[in-house]
Formats: sequence, structure tokens, C-alpha cells
Amino acid sequence: MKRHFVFVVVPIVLVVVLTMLIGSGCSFSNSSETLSDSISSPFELSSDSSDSDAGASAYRQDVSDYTVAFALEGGNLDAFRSDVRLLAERNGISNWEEDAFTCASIGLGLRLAQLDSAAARSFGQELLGANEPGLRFLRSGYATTP
Amino acid sequence: MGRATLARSAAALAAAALVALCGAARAATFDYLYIEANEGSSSGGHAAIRFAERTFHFQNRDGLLVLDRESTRDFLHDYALVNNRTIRASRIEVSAEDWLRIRTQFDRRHYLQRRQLDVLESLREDRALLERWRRAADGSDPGEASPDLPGLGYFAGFRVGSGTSSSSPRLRALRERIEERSGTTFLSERRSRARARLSAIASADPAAWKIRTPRHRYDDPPFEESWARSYRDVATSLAAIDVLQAAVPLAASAIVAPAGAEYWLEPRETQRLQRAVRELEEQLVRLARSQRVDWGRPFLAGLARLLAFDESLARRRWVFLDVLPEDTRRLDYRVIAPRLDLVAEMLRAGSDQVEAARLAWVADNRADERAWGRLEEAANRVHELSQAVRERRELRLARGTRVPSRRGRLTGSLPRATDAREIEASLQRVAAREHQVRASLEELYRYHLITRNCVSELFHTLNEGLGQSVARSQAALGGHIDGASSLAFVPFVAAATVDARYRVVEKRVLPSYREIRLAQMRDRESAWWVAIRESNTLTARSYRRGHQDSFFLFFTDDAFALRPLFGVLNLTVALGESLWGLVRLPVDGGDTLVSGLEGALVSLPELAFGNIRKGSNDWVAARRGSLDD
Repeated sequence: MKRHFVFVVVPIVLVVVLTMLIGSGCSFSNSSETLSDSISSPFELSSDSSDSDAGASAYRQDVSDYTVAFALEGGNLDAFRSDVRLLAERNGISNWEEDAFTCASIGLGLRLAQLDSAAARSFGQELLGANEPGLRFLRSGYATTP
Repeated sequence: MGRATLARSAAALAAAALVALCGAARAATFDYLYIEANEGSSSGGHAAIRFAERTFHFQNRDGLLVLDRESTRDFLHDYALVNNRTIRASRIEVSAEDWLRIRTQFDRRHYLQRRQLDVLESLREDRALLERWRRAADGSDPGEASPDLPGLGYFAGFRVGSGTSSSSPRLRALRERIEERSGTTFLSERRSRARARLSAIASADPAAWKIRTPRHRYDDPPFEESWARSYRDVATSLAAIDVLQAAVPLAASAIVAPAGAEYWLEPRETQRLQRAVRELEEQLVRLARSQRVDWGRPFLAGLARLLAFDESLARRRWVFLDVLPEDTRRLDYRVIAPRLDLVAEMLRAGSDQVEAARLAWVADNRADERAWGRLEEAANRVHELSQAVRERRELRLARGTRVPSRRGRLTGSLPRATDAREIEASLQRVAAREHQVRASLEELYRYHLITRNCVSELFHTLNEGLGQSVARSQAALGGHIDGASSLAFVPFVAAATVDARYRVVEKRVLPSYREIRLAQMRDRESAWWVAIRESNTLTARSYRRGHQDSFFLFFTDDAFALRPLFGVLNLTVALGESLWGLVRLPVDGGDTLVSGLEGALVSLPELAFGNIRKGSNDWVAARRGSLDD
């Protein structure tokens, strides 16, 4: 009886436990804050430029991807502005119209969408109105070689 | 395939062609990362794909498998250091074009899934606003009708049309400047238009805005303004105008004023603040004329920051807006109390961050909001932690970057639906749409242990980048892996399969925090003494029990031969903790009991030479250099 328990039951229990544990994979504490979250990510303020470059690169790509999609598919302009705002807020920017990097990324997106300069200018004016600094940044982004 | 997809693919392929021309199929590499098991989430191990500074991995979130993208440094810090897991990197060589194809596929999936999930979130917000109106209409909670408006909470106690005995000279001056630029009736006309628009939204059908139920992972949702968000945005702009017209001062609770001599303003900081005031005022004058529907949100944040700048200049000390959310998760002080030595380290590191951010902001000549935001956020976090300790209270926790968005409600009447039957009918339509989209997303992304998990989806996405062609995978990667049709859904099996089939040119082990510490100790002390001292949690210097760890006695990850013996002892201790937990049940609500049972569970594999638990850390300071230097 004892031998039966050790050589049959115990391995079954272990296999079941391992299966349960394997199955609890994929989720991580990103979904639940910990004490570690009380202080900013150590890399957000790093003097290593590669950290800020990596974040900026991802943000530029996000904004330009959204811009490409909107420029080609069309849709509601306020919805596009709202999407840009959400992206900007996740990157610490409350007023994206005044942010050089965001507006330049929109300009880059217009370039990637292969809008000609007249169409890009028209898009920018419709998007930013009379915001001259924003338009300037957008034009500089458009002029960037992708 | 939509035009946007074609444009993005064309851009990616153009880049690939350019790379090819320049380097004739020069090789590139990406890493398959296998993250070892540990107690807690992803206890069976985890997997990720790293493309230089960007790492992608799947997470199970509310039953859906969501693709996350993180900076590689943050990812390695979280998993290898804080969560104390060894990471095994297999470096796979591919052509530059294939590298770009695969990376673009992950980027695409990430982008589109985020947009699809945002549609679901918008539908939830529609339902939430209607539920508020229902509660207001049936009298159960009349004050609930107004949605929470981001930024208004910094001007707490403000009531529309109430007037106020004290007003802010700064905001009065800003109002006059705007009226001077745009006309004396500009604000009142803008307010009237906002009110009219709000009425139109309130009487519109909440279920009328166009959605496209995603049938495929790469379906691109249309750019459509959702109903509740439009309502909230216009209401926020109304609030912004009212706050400006009444020149409402900041609420006392809106700011944090860190103590300490280091927070006196230096002369150059005073000059920089004065410049910031001028720059921000100019931006707010432009923003007041913006055509954005959601202009009110950054306007309120800007007004609040402007007044916080004023407060700093008046006090000649740093003062910041409170940017941590009020409704965020909080950590009980009882968790913090036994870890005050760690908290002291965290505060030192946080203070260094504040200092670095101050210097960077003063030196910034471009009025970059992010430079200010880093200082503001770092100061908030340090202040919150030090106050939690000083006052022995809960600690607010919030992941990610913050912008000022404290919420408040307009207490004056806003246009809204009031007929209960009409609201109920709208609710049913909105709920049906939400259910439809949710069901579709579950069809596409529901987690499944074998066929759709964090490992299988990595291979699925990778294969999609190569056109789902086995031949192309073999040519590009050296082999093909279908994560759903073999044991390769198991993380450690997948890692071995990658090494066996793909063109792996290098294998590296990125050590866990404990392994790094042990190596450092062995450099200074005798190896056998380190082994004995660091074998158990009672004497180890490389480990401070993380508050989410169950209690255990022996580390078994580096003690294969003794694993069953250590496992028996760990199991005994865990069962003992469980028994103690039964005693403490009325006092701690079962926390000790659950911890003991979890500890027993992860001890079981140790009896059969298996290992899951490694211990984890509540916090680890940033390491200089890269983890894989």
C-alpha cells in the first residue's frame, strides 16, 4: 500500500501540480503593481542615451503608424486626435500639439503614407489649425528621410 | 489587406531592399529569450523575442493573450533582477530583410491589437456613462450623472456658476490675454458652442458610432469618435472654460510640497521656472484656440501646472502637482514596515532620480514637456513613499508614466438623457455591441494552455512574418517550429526546440539577481562558505524575502543533488505556515494560510528534483550598463 502510494500517487500529484503551474504561465506582475512600482523605472531617467532613444523610437513608430493608417483609410479627425493624445499621455505628454517630437512623427507618417507635399500641408493645417510651432515641427518630420 | 497595411508593408520592404543593396543580405540577429520558472505569475516559465532595444512578449490579461512591447532594459530588469529569474538567450541569425519582416510583423500585431482593445474599452465607457445616467434618473444617486473629468480634480470644490471669493491673479491675467488675442466674447462663445455640442451628443444614439467587429487579428478598426469619450471631452472643455473664467485657484490637496533643504530653489532654477511660466502661458493661449475636441484636458493640466509653478516661485521651494491617481492600488503599511531598510535604499535612488531630472530640466532649452514630466513624476514618487513611511499609511502604487489628470466632477447640470426607459433601451444596445466585440476578441485572443499561450503565439507571429511558409522558415531561420502542434508550448521545451532547429549562432545566460550577487561574493570570499551561507533564507545575504513570496527555507535552484531533501524541509515549513495561517485566519483574512499553501505547492516539484521557486525581490536598484554586457 505504501509502495503504491509512493510510486503511483506521488508522481501523479507532481505531474498535476507541474501542469497547473505551467498553465499559469504568461501572466506577470505587470498586471499587479508591487513595491517596486513606487519608484520610477530606473531607466526612465538614465543618463544612458540608449534608454531614451529606445523609448523615443517606439513612440515615433506608434505615432507614425497611426498617421499612416489614418492618412490612407480616412475616418474621423477627432478620433485620430484622440488616439494621438492617448499615445502621447502614455509617454508623458499632455499637450501633443506643442510637442516637437510628436508633430514631427506625424509628419514622418504622412511621408510614409506617400502623401505629396501639398496633401501633407493640407492635412497638417486641418489637424493643427493655426498652431505655427506644431506645423513647423510637422513639416520638419515630413522632410525626414524615412 | 487595407491600403494602410500595404503602405506599411511597402515602407518596410523598401527599407529591407535598401539594406540588401547596401549590404547584400548582410546578416542580422534577434534573440529568443527563455525566462526560467519562479513562484507567482508565469510560474512555468516565460518566453520573449528581443529585437535589439525592443522586446515583445505575450501576457494573459483578463483571459486574453495580449502582445506587450517593452524596452529591453526594462524587461530584463523586471524579470532577471526584480523577479530573480535567469534568462537564457538564443541568438538567431537571419538576413536583414527577414529580420525586418519579422520585426514588422510583431509591430503590426502589437499596433492592431491595441487599437482593437481600445474599441472594447470605448464600448465599456459608453455603458458606464449610461449606467451613471440610469442611477441619476431612478434617483438612487443623482450626483452620479456627471462623468469624472480629468484635470478638474486639481480645482476641487469648484461649482459651475457658483463664483468664488478668491480667484487666481495668474489665471485672471491669462484669461485677459486670451481675450485680448481672440476677442472679449471668445470664451463665452466657445462655451456656448461646447454646451450645444454636449446637448447634441447627449441626445444622440450612443450605439450609432461605427465599429467593425474584428474577424481577424490584422483587422484595422476605423477611426471613429466614440460616444462617451466625445461627451467626456466636450464636458472637460466646458469645465476648462469655467475654471478659467472664474480664475479658480488650486485646491490645497492638488500639490505635493516635499520637505528637505534640497528642495529650496536655486537661482538658475528660479530663472528656469520663470521662463517655464512664460512658455506655458503662450502654449495655453494657443491651446484655447485649438480645434481639438479634447483640448480641455491638456488645458486643465496646463492651468494646474501653471499655478504649481507660481506656488514654487512664491515659496522659493519646489512644489509639484500630485500626479499619482487617487483610485490606484495601494500597498498596506504592514507590508512596508518590515522593509524600511529597503525603503531607505529606494528613497536614496529616487532622490538621485529627482536630482538628475532637475539638472536635465534646467538645461533643457526646448520647452520639452517630458523633461518637466520626469521631474514632476520622480518627485511625486519619492514624496509618496516618504510620506507613507512617516505617516504609517498606505502607499499608492502606479506603474507607467503619469501626466496630471486628477479627476473631478462638474456639479452644475450638464445636458444628458433623463428618460429612464430611453436610457435602458440605449444601455441594451450598447451592451450588445460590447458583448459582440468582446466575443470576437475572445475568439481571436482567448488564452489556451496548449494552442494559444505566450510561447505558441510567439512562434505563430514569427511564422506569420515569413508568410506561414515552412520552406521560408527553414530558409530564413534554419528550421520551423509550430508552437501549437508539439510540446513546444511548454517554455523550457520550446527553448530546447529553438536551439535544436533554428540557426542559433550564440547562446548566452543572463544571470538572475541572486546569481549576480553570488558571483560577486565568490570573488571576495571562499566559495564553500558562500555556498553554505547562501543556501538558506535564514543566513543568505543575497535574498530579502519579497512580500509576494511564500516562506521557504532552502534555495533549490542551484542544489540539484540535495533538492529532494531541501524540498521535504521546504514543504514541512510551508505546511507549518499553513497551520499557523489557520490560527491567524480571523486576524489576517487568510493571507498566511494562502501563502503557506502556495509555498507547499511550489515545494512539491522539488521532491522529484524539479525546481520552480527562486525567491524574488521587492526592488532592485538600476545596474550600470546592460545586463548582457
